[in-house]
Amino acid sequence: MNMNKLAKTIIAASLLMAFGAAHAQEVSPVDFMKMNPYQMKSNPAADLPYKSVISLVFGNVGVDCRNTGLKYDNLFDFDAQGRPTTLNLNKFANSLSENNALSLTVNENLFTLYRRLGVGMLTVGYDVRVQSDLSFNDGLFDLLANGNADFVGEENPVNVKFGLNATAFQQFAVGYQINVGKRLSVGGRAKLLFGFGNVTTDAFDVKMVTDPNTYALRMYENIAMKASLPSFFTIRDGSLVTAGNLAFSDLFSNPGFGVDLGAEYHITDEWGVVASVQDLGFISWKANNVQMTGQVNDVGPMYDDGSFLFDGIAIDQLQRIISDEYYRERFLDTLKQYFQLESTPTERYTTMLNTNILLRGYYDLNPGNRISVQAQGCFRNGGFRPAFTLAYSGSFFKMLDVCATYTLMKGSYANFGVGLAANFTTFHIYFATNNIIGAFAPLNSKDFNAQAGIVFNLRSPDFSLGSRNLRYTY
Amino acid sequence: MRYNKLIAFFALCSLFFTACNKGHYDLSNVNGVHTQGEMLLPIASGNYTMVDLMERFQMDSLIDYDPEGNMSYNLLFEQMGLVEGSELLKFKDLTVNETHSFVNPAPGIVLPAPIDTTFSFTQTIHFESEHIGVRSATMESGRFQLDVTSDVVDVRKITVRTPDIKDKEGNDFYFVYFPGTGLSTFDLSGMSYQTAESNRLNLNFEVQIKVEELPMSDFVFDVSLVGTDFVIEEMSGYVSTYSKRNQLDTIFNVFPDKLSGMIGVENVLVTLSERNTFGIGAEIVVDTAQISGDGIEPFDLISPLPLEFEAVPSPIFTQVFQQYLDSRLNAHAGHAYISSDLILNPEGNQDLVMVNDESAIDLRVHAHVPFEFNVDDIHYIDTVNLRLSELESPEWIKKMTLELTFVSTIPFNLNGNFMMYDSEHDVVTYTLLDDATLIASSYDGQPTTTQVTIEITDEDLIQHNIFASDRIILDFDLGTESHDVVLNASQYLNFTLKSKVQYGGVIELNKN
Repeated sequence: MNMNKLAKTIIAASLLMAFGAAHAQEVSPVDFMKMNPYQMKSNPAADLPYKSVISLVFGNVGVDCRNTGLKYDNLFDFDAQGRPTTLNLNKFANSLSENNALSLTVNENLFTLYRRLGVGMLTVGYDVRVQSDLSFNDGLFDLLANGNADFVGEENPVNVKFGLNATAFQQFAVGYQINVGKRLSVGGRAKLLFGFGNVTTDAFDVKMVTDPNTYALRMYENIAMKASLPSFFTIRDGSLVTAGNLAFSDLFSNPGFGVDLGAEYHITDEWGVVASVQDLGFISWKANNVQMTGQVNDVGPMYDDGSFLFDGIAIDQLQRIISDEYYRERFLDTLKQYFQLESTPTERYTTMLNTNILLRGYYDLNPGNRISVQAQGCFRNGGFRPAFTLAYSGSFFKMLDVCATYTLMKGSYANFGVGLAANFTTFHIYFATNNIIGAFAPLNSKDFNAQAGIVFNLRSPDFSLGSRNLRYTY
Repeated sequence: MRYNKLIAFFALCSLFFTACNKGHYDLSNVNGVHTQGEMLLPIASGNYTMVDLMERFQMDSLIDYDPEGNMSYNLLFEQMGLVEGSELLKFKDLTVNETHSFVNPAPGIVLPAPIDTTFSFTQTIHFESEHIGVRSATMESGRFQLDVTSDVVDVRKITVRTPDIKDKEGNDFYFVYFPGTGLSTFDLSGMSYQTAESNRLNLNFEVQIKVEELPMSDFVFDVSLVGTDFVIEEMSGYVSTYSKRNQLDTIFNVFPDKLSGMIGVENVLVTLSERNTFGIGAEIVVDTAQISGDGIEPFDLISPLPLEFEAVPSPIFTQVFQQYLDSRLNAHAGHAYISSDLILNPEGNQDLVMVNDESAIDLRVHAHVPFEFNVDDIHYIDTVNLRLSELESPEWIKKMTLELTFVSTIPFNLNGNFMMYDSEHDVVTYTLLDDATLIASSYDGQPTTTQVTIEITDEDLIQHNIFASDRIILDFDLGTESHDVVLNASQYLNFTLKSKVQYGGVIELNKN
């Protein structure tokens, strides 16, 4: 295949993914910064221009936020000076889509050692990672803000849906990158994982139907969640409570395994392609697992055939509810019993990592400047979130590493990213974000990613700006 | 040069961080939460049968239901204990002072040493009673206080015995008294009394004396006996003719206090019953049995009067009179006045009869009022504590619509007002409904549906009038138009109260 044709095919595939049905995550300019050792996170086959680097604690601190619903500008009314004055629930509720997401991924690299061995490079790393995804629909907020008058009848209920998937885990990774010949590089990392905590929502559906004639409210509830929590959480009387302290064994109770794999091929001196898969793996949750389920409980007269039915109360009861605070509190406590969740210990279960795949093509304008096109996708919560990125990266004076990206995602079209790094003899320091506009208005951004860190060169980097761009010569 | 680049690098990075701190994100001026919407809520509902409604009006104990569910109201006037056994089974207190003397067989002899000797004598006591002659009885109470003294000898011991009184074991009663010890009272409670001659008691005395010399010609003993608190639990004997006049003068409510107005009632069955547990006949003459009240002409429950009848001994009530009458009653209150004369044992029969302290003659006038009536402007008023003033944030309510729906098979109309009342300032702050018809009567047994909508769009009214109240005065008028209606247990009233509330505004956030 003609190399130009191959590159065009890759670009076309990337575009197709970008306009797919879901959203992406964790596209970072770091992935394109040629001097940055952490480009190996997305491309395990990357050939770094270092002999040996090490980092401690601050090697790579990364935060990735996705927020499609809670927009700052949609939350408030503002005065003439643009300062928020009131929280406007209607404005907020009306701004929500049918499905909304609030995701936060935090990655803290506590230790990294890259050491060139022969034709390849050994990589060792230890990371602490948190991945949380909250999805919610607009039902609850519509109801709270606008009332139920717009939701009348069996065919027009209020549907409240939530989904929460959150995982915290440690990652011990050992990898090796090798240049196979002059054009092909491959790399891989094996990752031993230890889960610290997980919450997974299998179902969180609440439906409320308002009878058009009597205004009777009928509610259905279906909640099923699993959680694996540190040992200082325990179930008491059906409720989850905290007791005791964190035990050392909590850190290693839930084992898992994952791999990152990558390959980079230099089609010509200018053209190249990268393909990789990251976080292909799982965690088996064994310790202190609980299952929380919720259906409407049959605890009183308002239970009706699997649902909670409120069609008015007796007139004497109404009088007491209005006039007797103590009775009112007891009545409300009684209502809560209908929706009480039940917590029970449960068997081990497995969650998959949020696997990313990446396909990138690039063209080196000259040894210091590169144009890349990348299609990336993430398997997350049973869906696939693609993104398409155009990137420019450049290296200047053997010291400065700059990058500019534009990432296109569904519903998020203004993601202009920048990366800036300085390389010194003894250390390399960098900062990058995938959304520079978001940096100025982070609370209005749908996607925002930032990474920063400092790594130390144990031996002086050996850049070769010869026949191939920053490719380590050996 | 490298340091300059490092400085430049940090300067660029700082752009990002300072960008995030601009005033746009200053939340210090956020003073509240704004929202507006509309809620549809069911508030209250109820399904009441006529039985339930009677319970709510605390009338269930006065209502009878026949197997077909027809209801009737029981007006009961009782004169319990026209005469009671306890009135008769009493003896008067008594005091007996009597002297007993014995001839000294050897006067003037000086004995070498003191000797003891005993004298015996009998004392007969008669219990006085106007009404009873007792041949046998169980004593509920009774006490004797005894003293025997002598001017010439030293009385050492007195023993009193009687075969007329038996203790609980059936032994003859006896009592030993040592003068000077203060133990001179003996108690007859719980003992049985039996005598051949009515109201008589024979006491045998043994008086032990210490004799040191015998100079006198007679030995003289003064007996002092005081009897008190003689009450008989049960007796066999005769009862003398006993007369008594009785009166019952009472105010009664046909319906609860909260109702007022006139009720026309028909086919009221009035019965008169008596019960005589004395075991002896009596004669009763009822000369007055009248009902009166505001707005009604006084009328006799029993006609003709006087009514004379015999109360024969029986443990159960015996009906002696019945009649049907039609009348009108004041729903709020009536006045009943019944008077009678009673003669127990009018013929003075001396036969032995059993009488106890629970024997009584009772009289009962029972008016059985079927719920077949017509109603002229019955007025019901009640106050319900409903402290709306304690509810928070009424200013949020912009428009309030209350929708009341009644479905009823009850055969009367109900029109009413809800008056919102502020008790602190003693003022009605607002009146809802304006005599609207809430319940439409059902005269044919088919359910009628009434819907009433109350819509309040004035925010000030909602905030300062309705939600300023702490009570609701319920003011209803009931009527049956020109119909005579029948109440039945199967009739029902269902209601729902639902609301549509448009709300909006800003919840002030507490700056503290």
